[in-house]
Amino acid sequence: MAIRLSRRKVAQYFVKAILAGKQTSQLLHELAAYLLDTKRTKELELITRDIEYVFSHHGVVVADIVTASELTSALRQAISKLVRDRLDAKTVELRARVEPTVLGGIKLDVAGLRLDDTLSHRLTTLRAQHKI
Amino acid sequence: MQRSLIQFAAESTTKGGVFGALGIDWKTLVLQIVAFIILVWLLGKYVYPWLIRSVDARQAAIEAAAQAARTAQANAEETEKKIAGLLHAAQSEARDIIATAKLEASEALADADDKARARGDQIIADAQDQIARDIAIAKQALHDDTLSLVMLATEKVLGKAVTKDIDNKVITESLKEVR
Repeated sequence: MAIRLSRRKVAQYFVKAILAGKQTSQLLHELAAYLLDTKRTKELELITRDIEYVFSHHGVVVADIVTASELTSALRQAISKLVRDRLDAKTVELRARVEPTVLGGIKLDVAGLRLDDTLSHRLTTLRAQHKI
Repeated sequence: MQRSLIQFAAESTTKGGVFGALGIDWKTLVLQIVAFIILVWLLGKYVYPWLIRSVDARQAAIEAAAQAARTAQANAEETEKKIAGLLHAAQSEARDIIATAKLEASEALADADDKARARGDQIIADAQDQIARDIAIAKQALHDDTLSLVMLATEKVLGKAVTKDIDNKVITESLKEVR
């Protein structure tokens, strides 16, 4: 039976291996096997976030973006630049998702930077302000 | 007739002296005197003291009975006076009790009246408060419903009004603000 490691250590091992040039698919198999063996499959999402966090310390950040329509390449570049400047990152990966319910604007979620400037959020804020 | 009597008297005188003339036999007289003295002595020795004692005892009993009767009468009078006093006191106490009861009943009635009035006022005040709260809740609900409708309408309008160009401008502005 495998030794139970903390999520942070698992993430650090995973990132170090990738940065060392190990194959991602093999690493993913190892991670899956480890989680199954230690019965920690429910922690997969948390470990993923920890991996992203550790990556951010190595200058690689993943930005989650939600918009009402597809982003143009200009906006993608602008967002990448913004994240690079704010977080001093070397590489920025954008994970964009289209959700028409946000009506417009952008929601940006990245380690150390969170922005929700969607129209639906503005309306919700406005509604909360006008509630007695 | 007169002659016969005088002759009889003359014959008797001539037989026994004075006693004889009187027709008394002195021996019988002495015997009777002695017998009488003995009788008196016997009576004085045995009968009279017993009679006197009986009479005295009877008199004492009568006096005791009379005294007891007087005492009983006095006691009866005293008892009657006490009863009268007690009756008077009882009547007075009864009057006091009735007066107190009437006063207490009056006070209780007034108190109940006050309580009922206060309770009624409280019920009215509570009802008014409840009505005010209901109105406030209704106003709040109306406000929230209106707000929801406005938001819904705004979302509908924005969903159609926000074109891709407008959305890009909004995003650009947002990014500028973050910088």
